[in-house]
Amino acid sequence: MEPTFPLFRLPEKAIVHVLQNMNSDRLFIFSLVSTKTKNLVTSLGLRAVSVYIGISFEICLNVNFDTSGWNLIFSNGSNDQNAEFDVTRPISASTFSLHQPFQPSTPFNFSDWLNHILTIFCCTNNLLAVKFRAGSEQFEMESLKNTLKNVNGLAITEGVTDIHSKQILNSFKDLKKLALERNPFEDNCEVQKFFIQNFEKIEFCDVYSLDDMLLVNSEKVRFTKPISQKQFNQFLKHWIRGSNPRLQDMFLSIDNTTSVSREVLLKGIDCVDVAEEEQQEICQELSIVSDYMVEIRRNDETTAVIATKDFENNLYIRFFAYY
Amino acid sequence: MTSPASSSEVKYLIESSEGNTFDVSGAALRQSNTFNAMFLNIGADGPIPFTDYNEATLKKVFEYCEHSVNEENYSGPKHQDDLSKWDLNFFNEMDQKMFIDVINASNFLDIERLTSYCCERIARMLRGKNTQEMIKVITLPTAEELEAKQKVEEKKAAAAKKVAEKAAETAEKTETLEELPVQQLVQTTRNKLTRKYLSFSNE
Repeated sequence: MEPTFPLFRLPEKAIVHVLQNMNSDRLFIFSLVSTKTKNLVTSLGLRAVSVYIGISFEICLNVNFDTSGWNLIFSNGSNDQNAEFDVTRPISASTFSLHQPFQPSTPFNFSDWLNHILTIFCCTNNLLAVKFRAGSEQFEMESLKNTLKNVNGLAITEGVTDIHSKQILNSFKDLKKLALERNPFEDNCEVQKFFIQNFEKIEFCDVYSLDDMLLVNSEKVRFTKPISQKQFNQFLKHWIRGSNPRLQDMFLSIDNTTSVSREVLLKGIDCVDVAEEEQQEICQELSIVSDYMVEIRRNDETTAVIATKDFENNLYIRFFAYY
Repeated sequence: MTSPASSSEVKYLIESSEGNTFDVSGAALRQSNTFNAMFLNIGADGPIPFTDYNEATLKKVFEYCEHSVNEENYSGPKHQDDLSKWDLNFFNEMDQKMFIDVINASNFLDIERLTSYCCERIARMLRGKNTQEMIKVITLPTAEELEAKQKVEEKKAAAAKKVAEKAAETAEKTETLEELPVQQLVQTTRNKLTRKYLSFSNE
């Protein structure tokens, strides 16, 4: 027989002490026992740093803390992967620490689970990041939109169909971060509507042009498809003349198979090498690795550092503007 | 003997709820932050009254303190798997009632190490449990049990109300009865005084 213990016969201070000895995943399960346990866990003031929701054939809800994290899996239990997944129905959750899916005393639907987590771990909604993967088509978009309010970050992976990607982009607005692994639009002007938005960060993994680069209005941008050194050189010249005024941090790569020459990369641009000591400081401060760094200055006196790193036939570039 | 001296040889007398007293070394007592805050600097004349706790509980708590006198200063919870054989025996030989009493006393005396180990031990009981299993472990009453408990409490409250009403009635009657002798006394005194005055004036 399992040992039992009448926890609520202890003074509150001792109960809190017991809870402080529990990991956040166990605290979460404990918080589902009753309103009293929910309030106790909430009173601990444990804060999640982010809540990430991965949507594919199932939903993976990942709750992250400073040094730990755990996830809940919600599956519709159907063997047919194309069967509709109704997020408004009560659903059990699975987690690594328990062998069987579980439910609180009062059955929860996905929205209840999410709200409960956001409440007990003192999350504001703007910590939510959602990633759509292949298989997410089985979810009814309107229900998802109503359930996932105030999404902060949105990512759409390569496996999602173009039609579905467009539906997703239409459903989630007011984002701070957007990641697109593929351009779902036939007309390039459509994707440019996203480049001109003032996100905190945009990540684009498909082919992009110089025009696309110049339209970027986000503070941070990450392009993963390599471009030519000429395209980057042209971008720098536009930046010096005043383009991309909000840009602070850009990551991109240059196809190195034809061997990149710094002369071509920085042709026609006034730049100075950053001293070795200063390079080390910048690398440490920004957590980057670099084997060469130059500083450029634009016409309004704003400076930027271009850090490069040669790795496996690609030249990786990090561009930091200092306003 | 009780003394504010900090030498480990100094013994303090502890008084339990039964009124019994027993010795505890100063070194063991100093693990209690409550003792440190209340008695360490000012000393205590006579036994220190921890009279909310029985002798068996206090002896168990201070047995732990005496044992851990020579251990390093407490620096946060130790994993149960790292507990010594002595520690494990100490916990295993307690029944549930004693365990609860020890936690309560340790919590009041603010003995960090003991409270922490006890609480970690309880937390371990909840490991790997789902919500329904947790309800069983922490012996949380079910909805039916809560309903039954509420009915019992309502009956108790009704009974208490009746008793209170009866007591109020009795008090009212007593008040009238108590007033009577006083009035009688006043009257008797007045009569006596009148008689005395009359006899005086007759002289």
